[in-house]
Amino acid sequence: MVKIVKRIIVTNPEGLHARPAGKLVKLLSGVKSSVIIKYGDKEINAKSILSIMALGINPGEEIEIMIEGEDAESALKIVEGVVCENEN
Amino acid sequence: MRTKIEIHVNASNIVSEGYAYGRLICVKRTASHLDGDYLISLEELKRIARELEMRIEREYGSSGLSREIGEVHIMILNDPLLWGELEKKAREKGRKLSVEDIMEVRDNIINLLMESDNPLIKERQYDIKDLFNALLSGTMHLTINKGDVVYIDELYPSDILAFHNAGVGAILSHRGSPTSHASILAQALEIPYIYNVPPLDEYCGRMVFVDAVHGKIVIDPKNIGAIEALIKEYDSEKKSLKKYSSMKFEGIEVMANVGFLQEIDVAKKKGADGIGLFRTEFLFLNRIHPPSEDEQFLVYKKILETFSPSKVIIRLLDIGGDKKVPYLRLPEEDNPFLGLRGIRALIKNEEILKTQLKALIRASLYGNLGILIPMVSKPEEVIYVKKVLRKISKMIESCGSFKLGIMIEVPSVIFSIEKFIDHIDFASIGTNDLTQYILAADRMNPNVSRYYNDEDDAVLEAIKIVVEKMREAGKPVGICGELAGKSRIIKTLLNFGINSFSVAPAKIPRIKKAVYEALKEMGNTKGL
Repeated sequence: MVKIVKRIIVTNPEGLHARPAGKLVKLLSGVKSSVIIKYGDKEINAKSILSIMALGINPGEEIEIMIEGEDAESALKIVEGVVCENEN
Repeated sequence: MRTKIEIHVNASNIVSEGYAYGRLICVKRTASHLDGDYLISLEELKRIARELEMRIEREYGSSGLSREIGEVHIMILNDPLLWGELEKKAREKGRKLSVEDIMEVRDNIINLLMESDNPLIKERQYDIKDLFNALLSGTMHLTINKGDVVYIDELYPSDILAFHNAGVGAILSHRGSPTSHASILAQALEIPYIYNVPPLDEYCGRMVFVDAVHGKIVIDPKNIGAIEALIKEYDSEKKSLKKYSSMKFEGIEVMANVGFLQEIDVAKKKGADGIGLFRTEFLFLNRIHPPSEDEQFLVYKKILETFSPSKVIIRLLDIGGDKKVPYLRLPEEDNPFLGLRGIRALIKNEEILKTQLKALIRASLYGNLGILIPMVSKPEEVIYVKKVLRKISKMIESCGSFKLGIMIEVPSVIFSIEKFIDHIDFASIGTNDLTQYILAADRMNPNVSRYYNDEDDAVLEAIKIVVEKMREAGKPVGICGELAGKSRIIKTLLNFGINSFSVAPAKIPRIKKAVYEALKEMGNTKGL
């Protein structure tokens, strides 16, 4: 069992809004670990598109990721890929 | 014989361009056909959700955008928060759920999204409503025939698919937004669609002409023959337009006006030679706090990178007292269009201006940036912005280079342009506001619509003066209002010496075609 806690700055120019939220949930659907996003005083399940959208995280803001499970490393890669993405 | 009624709508509310002529069908929605006393178990609801999921997979098909939206709907149908709320409600009630219970859960989830500062997230309410509607077998009385024009209060993504299958001619909605999933689908399926349309309930069943190119709805129009010819011509032209997207001209650019990050892909696909006008209002409206410097920086950087090395002109926040923005000091005014707006409002809100300029300067490293100052009426305003820019540049470690320009929309600027020219690198003529100021006719006021004409000789003469003076000074000038999107006027503007046009992304191929034909006609083979 691996546990990862990491603070990340959201550099995706769309923040974690509608489109990136969908992408994150889609990619995390194959992940076994639990993935929690902490933002301000709120903690939510990163596998819930509604919960992520409700946070309304803007670009440039900081979030904390808490991942627990056997595939935590690959889950972190997925999260960082979407959160820090500057897709072209 | 009924009298014809013309309804003008702002062209910026056109989501998907086109024309249609057909019967106006007002579509009403009922929340559910289920009896108020009917109770549903969670297991039953889950079974319905699974069926719905299969239907979505089938109906949204495999084409890119549509499939993506279908995927989001499936994610929502499987969302742990959603089912958690439903389970909580069932526990609370200690029984199966009624339609009313389920609608309460729906509304709680929508409220969560509505608390967001982001308009894109708020728009997801329509997806939630769409799905709950389908879960509770809500129905629409669909008696739509091929060619009908649909009027509906709120448009959901699945409606578009249903209307499309019925062969609808055009869609008009009372509410909506250009970035909703329904709007994205309307564009993808090329169904003419306008939102923010005033209630049309009194005209249901009458014949209607929809001009989703200029923004006009005509009830019981008279000259049907001309309308049908227009539609035919538009449709046949549309097919021949694709090849013009990739066309480039030497010394003449056809760029895109955009207002959302989401639009830049479309602009690129349609062949934009750059961004002639990026409106930044979307970043600021409908939220409680202004966007941070970092948030703005990331957005501007993305646009600049996408189009680099082509030009990207970003306009400073252009807002006046007609918009309610809680964090801006904007007084209530009797006449906001002659009041504190554009740069005048920014000078009164210096922190907002500074933050925006900082973000722009930082982003300037990533592409070819032009900063455009809106609603300039005095040279002092340009000097003021330059002063702020100098101060900020000292605070930022690495700045790229950028150009500074002004919007030409206040008539007095045209007659004293000499006073501005030394202070600016370029100018952009905003023909919409320029026309309303020159002709003293509000573009949105139907009572004076016959006084508003952006092809009026006085407006064209004003443009000519600007172009000549700017040419003498050796500084570029572009045109970014609706006028630039009118094919028939392109030749005239080229003759004036305009060589930069900025139009809505959808209009780019058409305007490139007009430029191509005008150049050919003028015997200018150099530009081709």
